[in-house]
Amino acid sequence: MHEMSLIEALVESLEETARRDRWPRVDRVSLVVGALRQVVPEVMVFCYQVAVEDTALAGSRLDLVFRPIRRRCAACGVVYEGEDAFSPCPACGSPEAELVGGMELYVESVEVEADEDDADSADAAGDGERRGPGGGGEEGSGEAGCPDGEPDRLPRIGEDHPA
Amino acid sequence: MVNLIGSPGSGKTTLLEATLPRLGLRAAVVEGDVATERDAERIRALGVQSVQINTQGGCHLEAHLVERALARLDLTGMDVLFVENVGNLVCPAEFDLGEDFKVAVSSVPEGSDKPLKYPALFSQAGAVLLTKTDLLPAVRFDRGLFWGDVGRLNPRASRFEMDSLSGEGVEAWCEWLRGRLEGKRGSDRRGSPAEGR
Repeated sequence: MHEMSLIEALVESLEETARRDRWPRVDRVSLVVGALRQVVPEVMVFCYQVAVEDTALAGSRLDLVFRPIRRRCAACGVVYEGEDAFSPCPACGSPEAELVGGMELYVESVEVEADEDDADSADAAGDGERRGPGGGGEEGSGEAGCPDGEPDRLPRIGEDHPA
Repeated sequence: MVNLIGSPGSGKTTLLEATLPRLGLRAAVVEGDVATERDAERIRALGVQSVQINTQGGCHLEAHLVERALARLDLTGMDVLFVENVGNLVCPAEFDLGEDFKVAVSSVPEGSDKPLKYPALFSQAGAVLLTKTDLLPAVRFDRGLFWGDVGRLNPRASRFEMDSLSGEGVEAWCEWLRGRLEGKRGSDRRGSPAEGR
């Protein structure tokens, strides 16, 4: 129910980075969303379409990449996926486990239009250049898996940003 | 920074009124509500700095709102900042305010089934507080179920029960907070990342 808040923060961060790094046209943004996040995917995509109108990101598409809920059993240490945040360990049956995945929310990659004249372009055919993976900031559990990557290149959502 | 999250009426402000005089640390409080200055006024009456954020419809606090509120506080020599989030068990769990940990506040009259119903909050919380324990004789509340479910979601969370009005149970919570601060300062001195939970 707060998809618009999250999307507005995302778009603001992306715009800032696009301006600072002088990105070409953005075609696609890939956003990792943990399954325990309380957001509706269709609403996220719709809010993104509305939020990028009349911005440097206009016309770009938001793709959502889902991560399952993962828990580490408190008894045997096995990490397992669950449909919810309280399913017991499939290995030993213990009901107690800590959350290690499912609250992710970060930009995995951004696809921009490659400039054929640009010597740094990764794709001479002009299908688009991927920047990333990884590196977005995330909200929620610190263990949920902010990946190694280029944390300063890709925007973080949910962190303090200028009002 | 401690991010207190709980339903409206769960006892967050009353908990702070019981905690701040006993804590023995320099503290300030950022209060979040849709409207009124009532909670900030209650904190200020204790002689503690407090700033009120009115979200005017927003159901949760966000980092940029807290950032602006911090600019209105004198943080010189401050040991701990409490942020009392908007009364809500759902949305505040989604937003990182920059806190060291979230605290889930659930009161006896709300019932023993809240943790599993609000897994995002209770799974992430560094501590779970059961408030208004003085009402246990008056309402139907299954402590075994409540703490059992907290264990299922978050076995490492620290657990406290208190009656803020009488003060029972508050000192244990204060002692834990002091320990967390000491631990964080120790980590900072050693140059390692402070633990989040």
